[in-house]
Amino acid sequence: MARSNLNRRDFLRQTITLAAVSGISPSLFLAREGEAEEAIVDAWRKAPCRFCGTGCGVLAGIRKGKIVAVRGDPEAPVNRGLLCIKGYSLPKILYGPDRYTTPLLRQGGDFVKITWERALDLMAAKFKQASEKYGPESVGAYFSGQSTIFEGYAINKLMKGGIGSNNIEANARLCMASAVAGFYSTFNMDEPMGCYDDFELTDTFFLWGANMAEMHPMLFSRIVERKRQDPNVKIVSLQTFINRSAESPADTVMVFKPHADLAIANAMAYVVVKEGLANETFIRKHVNFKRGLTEIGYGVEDGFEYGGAEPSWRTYRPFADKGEPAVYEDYKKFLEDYTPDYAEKISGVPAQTIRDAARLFGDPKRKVVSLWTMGFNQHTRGTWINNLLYNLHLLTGKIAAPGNNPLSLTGQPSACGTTRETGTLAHLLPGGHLVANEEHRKEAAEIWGVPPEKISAKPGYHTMELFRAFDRGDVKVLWINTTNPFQTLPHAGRYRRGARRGGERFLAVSEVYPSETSRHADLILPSAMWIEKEGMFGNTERRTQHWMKMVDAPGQAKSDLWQIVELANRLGLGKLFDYGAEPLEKSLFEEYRKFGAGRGKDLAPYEVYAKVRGGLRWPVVDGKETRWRYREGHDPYVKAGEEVRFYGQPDGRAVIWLRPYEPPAEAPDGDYPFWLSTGRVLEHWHTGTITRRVPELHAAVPFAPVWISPDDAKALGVETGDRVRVKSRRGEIVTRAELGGRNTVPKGVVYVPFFDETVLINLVTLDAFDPISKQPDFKKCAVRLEKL
Amino acid sequence: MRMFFAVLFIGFFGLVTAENAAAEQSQRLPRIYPGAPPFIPHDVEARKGLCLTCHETGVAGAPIVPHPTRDPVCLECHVGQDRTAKPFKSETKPLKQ
Repeated sequence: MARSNLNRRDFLRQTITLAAVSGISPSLFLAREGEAEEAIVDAWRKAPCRFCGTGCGVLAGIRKGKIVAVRGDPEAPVNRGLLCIKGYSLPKILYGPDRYTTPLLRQGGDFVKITWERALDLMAAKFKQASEKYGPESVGAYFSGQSTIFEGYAINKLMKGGIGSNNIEANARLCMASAVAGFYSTFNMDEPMGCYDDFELTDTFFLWGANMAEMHPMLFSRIVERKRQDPNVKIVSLQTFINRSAESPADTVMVFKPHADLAIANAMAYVVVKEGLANETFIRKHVNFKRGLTEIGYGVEDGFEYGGAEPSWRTYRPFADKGEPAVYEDYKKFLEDYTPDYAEKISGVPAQTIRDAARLFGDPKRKVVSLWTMGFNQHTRGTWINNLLYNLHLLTGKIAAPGNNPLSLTGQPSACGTTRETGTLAHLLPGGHLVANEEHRKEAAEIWGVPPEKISAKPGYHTMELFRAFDRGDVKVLWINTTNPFQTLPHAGRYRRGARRGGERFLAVSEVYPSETSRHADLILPSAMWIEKEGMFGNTERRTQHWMKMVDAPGQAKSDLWQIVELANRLGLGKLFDYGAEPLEKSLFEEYRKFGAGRGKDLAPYEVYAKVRGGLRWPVVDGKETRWRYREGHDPYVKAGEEVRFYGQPDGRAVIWLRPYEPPAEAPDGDYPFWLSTGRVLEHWHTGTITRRVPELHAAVPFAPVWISPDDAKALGVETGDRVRVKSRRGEIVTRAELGGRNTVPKGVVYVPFFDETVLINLVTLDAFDPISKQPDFKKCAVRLEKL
Repeated sequence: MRMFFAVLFIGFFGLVTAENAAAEQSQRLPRIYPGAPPFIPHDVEARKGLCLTCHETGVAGAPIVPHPTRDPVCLECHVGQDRTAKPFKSETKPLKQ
């Protein structure tokens, strides 16, 4: 068993050696310089952080069977010894006083303790009854980008290969589905071509709506450090309000009206083409042009199908637009509408600023890295705006090269590794395989040892439709695991009511602490978390990391993998997870690896990940990780002489899409005159279920306020601390106003974080989604404010 | 230059700063565990971007930062504490709707 036991002296020696060898400024390693105090531990052992998609390496300090301290792992290439305050708080997330320690069953107005035996028998009986009576489509599982790779692979195998239902989704649908749809439509292959190494190699950063200073702090640190070392580095920050990523050290800040990014990106392309900044050779050799469907709708109706009767979600391959072929001239003509003056009208950003940004982007002497997260992805035209950003990188040829890349940041620690790669979405099989593809089904059935007809060719319900189906009663039995949808779904009121409509509905929830979702459950299963079990995560830059179980879970809490296997046993599907005397986790991983091998998603053997500190970036071929995909000399799949090949596409060419500006699903009007945007804060993770149990994180941000602009506050007679009602056509919340602090919102915009269960802002948000990716838009709806 | 701002800063906040600094000195907050980053015992947002004004040289007894080059991102690791906040307590009863 691989262990990483380090004493203090080793730790310092490694830190200094690594700094010297790598040539990286030592300042990133010296966060703890001057610390005399040291936690006393029996062992330091490696794990990835449990929070965001950055994938920082930590060393967990274990003493007498408990975690008592953490440190940033100086050997981890991502964070190089540093962590943010959430990371430093990791030891405390395990030990909140209200951890679930036994299974609980709803009885009358209370939850009562029951045994695991009874809990699992009941759950299996419910799955069986519904499947037999209404077919396998009447059961579903809703998992997470925080599930481990083992858990994701196992639940996918059980649902699709065992039960025969494709109703397996993950909360990552709310988080990165548009990024995936963007990758598929442009490159026909998921996940970034670049990596974090680009940060030290580029000289120009574009932050497209991403507030990295709070949401990806360690990556922002690397950007700040890069700029400190080279004043020639420029940072352009496009935001809908001023946040910590739009202050020092950003050089240019563009505050645009919500949804106007579509116009800005096209206008920048207009300038690039008009001013001769396009890389014509690159375009000629590596690019195709396509025109997609327009006026595609917003998904607010039940059973919404994209593109009318023709290319629907059910029949047409999801996550890609059909697209008609176009040529460069068509694209140039299309861009004629997107003058910087037009973009100024839509966005409120001065035309000259847009022009300057485009010139900076297109400057042949500059290397450009683009970064984005929820601002692009939680967007009713999320796929389009991802495409439009790729257009800029393809037009200028600044892609798939060291220091020149678009890098789609991930929100969750394993949205990439688990949801996208093991395929816990309604249309996917592991390793990028699709349920709608007969060959893929056959291959999966063979690896899984099940008859090919067991895997349904019909994609299951995507997340929004899954919860609508649960409300309607089309789905009877639902298992929610490692996520809190009754706080995070947009228009949550409908789905919360739907879960408790009774009838034959049965809701099982695996959780670690009481949450808005567990409190809706019929059955609560107590889960082990993070280092209480063995796990693997995959981060933003295709990096797969492994950790061993280090401490015991409290009481009778069990790992989610154990829960999946026990349910399978009771459904008569135990053979899916019977690997004889071999360890289960290793066996699952070795089996899973077969799906990606030779297809550009090669993973190293299990033992390699168990050993290596900081993980490896796939494809891992002949023991070597890949930093830059699609580039000769870096990516083993690109042959000598090809230079660049986007090999996801049959002809090796990426697509520039003609994507227009279309209006948002809902916009402010006389009755609801404000834009509402929602999001996170640095100190809390998602719905706060774990971070609010850390007293220091709770004290840092004890509640979610509503940020209001000073102008609007004055008109309303509101000051910081006053109670305000935020109301939409769907619901309302009451909280205190904040006029200053870390954010400055422009007139007409308000911002409310979603971590606070007493300020359920998703009662207010709108359940409109991107018709291509099915990802909802949490950043735009219309509200009014009332002073109380 | 730094000193100029320090003087300006002290001048600006005058009594508030001098008194608070002394009071806060005695209230240095416990760390989560030895080696964890120290918390900030004073208001953070009102002094946004000014951390080094006091913490570079230790003005008014402020702890001196051992890694001053990381100044734009202090608040990634060091966060304030609202000591008036009630402890967090979640509801545990089933929701009916």
